[in-house]
Amino acid sequence: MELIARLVRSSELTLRNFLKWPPGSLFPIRGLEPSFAGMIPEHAIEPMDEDPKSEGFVWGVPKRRRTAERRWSRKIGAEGWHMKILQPKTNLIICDSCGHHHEAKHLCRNCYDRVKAETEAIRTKIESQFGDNPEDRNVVVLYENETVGDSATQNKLLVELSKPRPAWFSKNLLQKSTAGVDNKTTTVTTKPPNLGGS
Amino acid sequence: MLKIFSSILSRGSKTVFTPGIVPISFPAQNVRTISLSSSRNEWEKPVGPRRWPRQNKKVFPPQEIGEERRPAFVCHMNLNFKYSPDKLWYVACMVRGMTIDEALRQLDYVKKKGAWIVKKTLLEAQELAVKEHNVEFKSNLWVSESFVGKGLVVHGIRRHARMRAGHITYRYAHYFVRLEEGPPLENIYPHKLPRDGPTLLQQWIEERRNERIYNSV
Repeated sequence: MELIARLVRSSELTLRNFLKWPPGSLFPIRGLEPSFAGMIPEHAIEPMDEDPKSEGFVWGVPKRRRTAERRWSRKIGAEGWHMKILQPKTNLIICDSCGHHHEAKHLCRNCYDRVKAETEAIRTKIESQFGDNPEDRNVVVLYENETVGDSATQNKLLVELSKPRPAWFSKNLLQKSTAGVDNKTTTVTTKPPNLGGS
Repeated sequence: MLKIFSSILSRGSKTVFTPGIVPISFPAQNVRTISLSSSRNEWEKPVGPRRWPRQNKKVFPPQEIGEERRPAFVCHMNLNFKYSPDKLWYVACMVRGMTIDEALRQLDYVKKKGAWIVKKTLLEAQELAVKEHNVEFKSNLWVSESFVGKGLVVHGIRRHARMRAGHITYRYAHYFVRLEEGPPLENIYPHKLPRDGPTLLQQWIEERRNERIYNSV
């Protein structure tokens, strides 16, 4: 503790010397000061040895020795408090689609990253093709060797990417849930054949 | 001027003047010279831990017939990376006694800088084990030893409020790991024992049996 105090005080003095503050300490070496006998009153000269900040200053100091229990808790932790010793995770599972491990009830990092990368590719293509202007049209992403087979392609943004479609990105994903709903359906009741009885 | 220059650099050297052209200096063999060029073969004093990688070079005598096969191992280390050894200790402790696959999996979920450093070191060690240390399957390894060393320490000063100075230590660490072939040994680390009823009871019984009864026969 004393060593640290000494070090801090000595480093303080060096700082003061090269930062030239406070201005009273321009002559650090006591004996070699030019004598201003009678010109400057004694009380105005700030002596270097007695630092007014440290006079009567109570340094932060430990009052009692830390018990073994406290030292142990700080290093290792405690179960009900804060465990510092790292515990391995027991909730790791394997992702079905990519085979990487992830925490249960969390998204698979690998899957998330590859979807993110693909989305980024599509977005940069849209930006290069159509610019930054906002378009209120549906997007149709076409990979290589793919054609648009839908009838209603007029009001759609066609984004063509020159790479093969990733296996996990099925065409159905961008299909609307209301697509294929036909209001003109007719219902026909049929009975299963060969039921018991004639 | 060139003569003076060369004599300042290499004390004890002789300068030979060839008429009209550049002076050539021949440095003495046993005198310490400050080498400016890397082409000179100068002995550099080795720095840092050296005992650990020597374990890899150990040659064992041939085993007896019927003796259990000694498992292959690799000792690897990562030196002087910028991280506190005290903080790295927690990561090294967690990994001790795990299979290599389990260790690599668990380290992905530790939110510490030391975690990726240790993972990188383990992957390097695994690769070395297969390439150079006669390990057949890279998954058939476990972490038998995992510990930390103190590396470089750089001291610095920082500012505090009210013209006060503070002391800073910039700490570097070493990480040492030994991978052994085969399934991991069970229950070698007391802090990793399962803390269920039967195990705790057994421990308690052992402690009572080891107790010394004073003033007894």
